[in-house]
Amino acid sequence: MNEFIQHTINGLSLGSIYALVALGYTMVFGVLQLINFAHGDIFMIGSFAGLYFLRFLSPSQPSVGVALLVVLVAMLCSGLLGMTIEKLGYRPMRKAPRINILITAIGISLFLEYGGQLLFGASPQFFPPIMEKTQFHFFGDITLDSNQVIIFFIACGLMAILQFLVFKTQFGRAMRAISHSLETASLIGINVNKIIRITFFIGSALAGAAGVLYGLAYPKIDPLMGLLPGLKAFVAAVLGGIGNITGAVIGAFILGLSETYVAGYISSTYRDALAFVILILVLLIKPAGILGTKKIEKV
Amino acid sequence: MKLQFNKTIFLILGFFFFSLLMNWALAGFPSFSEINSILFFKPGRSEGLISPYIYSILILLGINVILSVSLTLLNGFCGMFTMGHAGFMAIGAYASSSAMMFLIPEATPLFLKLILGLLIGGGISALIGFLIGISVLRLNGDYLGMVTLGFGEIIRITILNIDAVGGARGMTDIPQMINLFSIMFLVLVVVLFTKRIRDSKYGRTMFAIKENELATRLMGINPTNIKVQTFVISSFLAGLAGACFAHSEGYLSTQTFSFVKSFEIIAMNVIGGLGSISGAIIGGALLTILPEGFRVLQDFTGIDLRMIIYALTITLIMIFLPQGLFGSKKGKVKEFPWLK
Amino acid sequence: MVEINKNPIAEFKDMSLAFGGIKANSNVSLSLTPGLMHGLIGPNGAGKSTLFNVLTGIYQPTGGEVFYDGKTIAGLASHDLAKNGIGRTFQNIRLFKELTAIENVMTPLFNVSKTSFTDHLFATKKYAAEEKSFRQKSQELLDLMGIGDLAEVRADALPYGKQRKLEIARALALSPKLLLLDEPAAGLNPTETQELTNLIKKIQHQFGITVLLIEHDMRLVMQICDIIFVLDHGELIAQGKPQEVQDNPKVIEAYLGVAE
Repeated sequence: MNEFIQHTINGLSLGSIYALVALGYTMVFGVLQLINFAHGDIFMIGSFAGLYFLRFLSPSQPSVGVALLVVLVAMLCSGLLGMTIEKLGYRPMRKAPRINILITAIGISLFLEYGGQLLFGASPQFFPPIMEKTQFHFFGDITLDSNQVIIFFIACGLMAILQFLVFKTQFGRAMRAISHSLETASLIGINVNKIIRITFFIGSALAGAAGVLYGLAYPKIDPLMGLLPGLKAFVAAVLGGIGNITGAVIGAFILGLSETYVAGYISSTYRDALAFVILILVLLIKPAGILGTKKIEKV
Repeated sequence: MKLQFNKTIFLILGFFFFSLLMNWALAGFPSFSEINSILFFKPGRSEGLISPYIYSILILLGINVILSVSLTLLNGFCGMFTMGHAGFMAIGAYASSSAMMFLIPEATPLFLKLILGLLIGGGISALIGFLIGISVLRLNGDYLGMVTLGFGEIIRITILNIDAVGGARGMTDIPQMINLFSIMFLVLVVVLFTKRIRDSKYGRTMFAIKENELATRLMGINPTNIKVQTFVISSFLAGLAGACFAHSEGYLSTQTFSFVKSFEIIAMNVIGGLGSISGAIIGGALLTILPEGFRVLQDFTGIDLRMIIYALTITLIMIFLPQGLFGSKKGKVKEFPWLK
Repeated sequence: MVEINKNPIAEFKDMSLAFGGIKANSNVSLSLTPGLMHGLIGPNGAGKSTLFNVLTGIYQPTGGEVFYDGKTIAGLASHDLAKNGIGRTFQNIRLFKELTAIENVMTPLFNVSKTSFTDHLFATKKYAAEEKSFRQKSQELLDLMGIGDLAEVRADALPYGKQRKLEIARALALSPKLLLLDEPAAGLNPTETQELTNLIKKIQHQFGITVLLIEHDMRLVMQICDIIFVLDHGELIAQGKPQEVQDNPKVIEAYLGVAE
């Protein structure tokens, strides 16, 4: 039982990181019907941005405040990167066939990965500990890292802010309008390009935050780190219903938890395969995901 | 029905001897004492017109062309955009190698061994292709891409975990039986085969399904059969290419068959122009030759710029030349004249 | 000439189709008499295309029954129905854009092909003969529709009016007994519409087929239809000869647009 609780704690922590990345996927898919393949690499860039900023800061004392600052800077960098990618890579392809856009996205993703190897070097680097790490012990052998708690709360905080943005602001309304119908939204006066740009910014910023949090949790980072978590976050978004924000969060936690359980109870070599299995099962059984709705095509 | 001595058979026989001649010319003349040496002759030192390095590049080119054409059937003809094609290549490679090393008796004559190996490689790949094809029937677009990506990765991870074929260490000491003759001949047969399909009622139907599956249904055609058949043929050819790869390199590592490889094959199609056989050929050729060219750059600067230039090129082509080199805009699909 | 035949080629008996809470069709009962031209009219959203979709197996009705050729079509797939003599066109044109006009018409002939895979693989005489006969038949249909000279042009390069004609040619490829035309004159100017009207009438007489035609252009409908069905909000509110329907107060009430 204790083991179960431990796994659950770890799973929630992992899930919260996935959630931040999954949100970016789902938001972009919502407005553009595009799977932003490069999203996982924006996560990676955010991580490195945080790392380099941290080195630049060289704080004498670890503290939560420093962590928050690093997260913010990373968010800014990835947000800007996301916007740039949208402007240069996706905007010119608005009217192109789906396959072309997907390939462009893949191309950008590979460019970021190998460019990252060039810039940062291919070997992994380490996030220095920037928060005081205390451990809480429960019932004997359950440990709760203060790191985990902080990560979890930062992630949830960001999700709450997003929730507010999407459901309670003008911007959010516009974004949701566009995800229903881009044409109609532009016809009623919404500046579609601007909203899409902001959506990309926010989605990418969240991924950047996730990158830093990931670095805090698993200190080893490298330019190819975005691939697997990116794919897994995508699966989470699909599981919850791609295009649906609440769904993305739910899917992410489900994935984070099940991955941790599988690694803990079955074997860790299969933990990565789990995401693919879930992806295939969802798409074959209920492609709309848990919260998704089927779109009826006019015949 | 009597199969008359028609154009196609004449062409195939012609290709056979042409390829044989090319191999001899480029690799140097063998002794004519036994059929094995004639068919399987490869250059030892630089005895022929070209160096062994270029010889091996040509073989790789042939393999990539077969891969590219196999994907065109699925992507460009039938509209099923898959991202796990390297998985079929992997199955073909490992299946053929395993068959040759563990199954086929030693005493079998060489050329029979090769043919069996290739058939087994392609066959098992086709079987898996059949299973996957059936399961993804209802999907299209991005979803199909993602699921096939998943399958491709699962195949790779599964092979990685089979110790009998080497697992993480890779598979070594595979009999090397592919030479330029066999590859050339295979390439020409595959291209001819694909062209025939394109010019047939099957080709028309595939393109129709790509354009508008619902309308095809309402014209009385059940897309299911065609889609599954296309999957089977496409995966067979990819498996064939994989088997050739295995018997040319002599060793295998699952690293080779990752998503990046699948993406490379897609890139070959895209650069050449989706839906065009000539495009697939040119794309395959380009994407074999260019990385070798970059290798020079790499040796010079010490940095692996290949992937970056690769990724950049593909992205730029997608943005500025989306129909590829041989693709169609509003005119007919462009092809080499002799491909007609 | 306009009696409702005892052996209708197709029949809807109390058919209903609901998508969740939305009732697309409610309790529609109508029958199609062999050899006659039927019109299906009604305001936008009345459920006309939906009726087509049910008859061609795209949707399964949630209530009532539908018969074709005397047998129920419940559970039959679209391609089976199309193979058995139902041909149709679509409201938003669904041509095979990358194929040429003649290839578009040749595509459905897959169903009547007698060649095997090896015939195609080795380009045998049998294959060549069949391709030639398919080509011939398709060319005849294109000529009939007046677009014979555009046979080798890619479908998406054709002007709109010709595309509509091509769709009809394609629908005729399998020699259907029942032809469903979904707004064939949509987007055409008056001259083109009149030309199309004459063409449809000619086709119907030449092949002796039954036609069911959805249209908004009242002149076309009143000119050539023997029987007209009127739908509104998914229900059949009137049926009969053109003059009867035109004078029907319920129809006038349903939508004010009459002859243009």
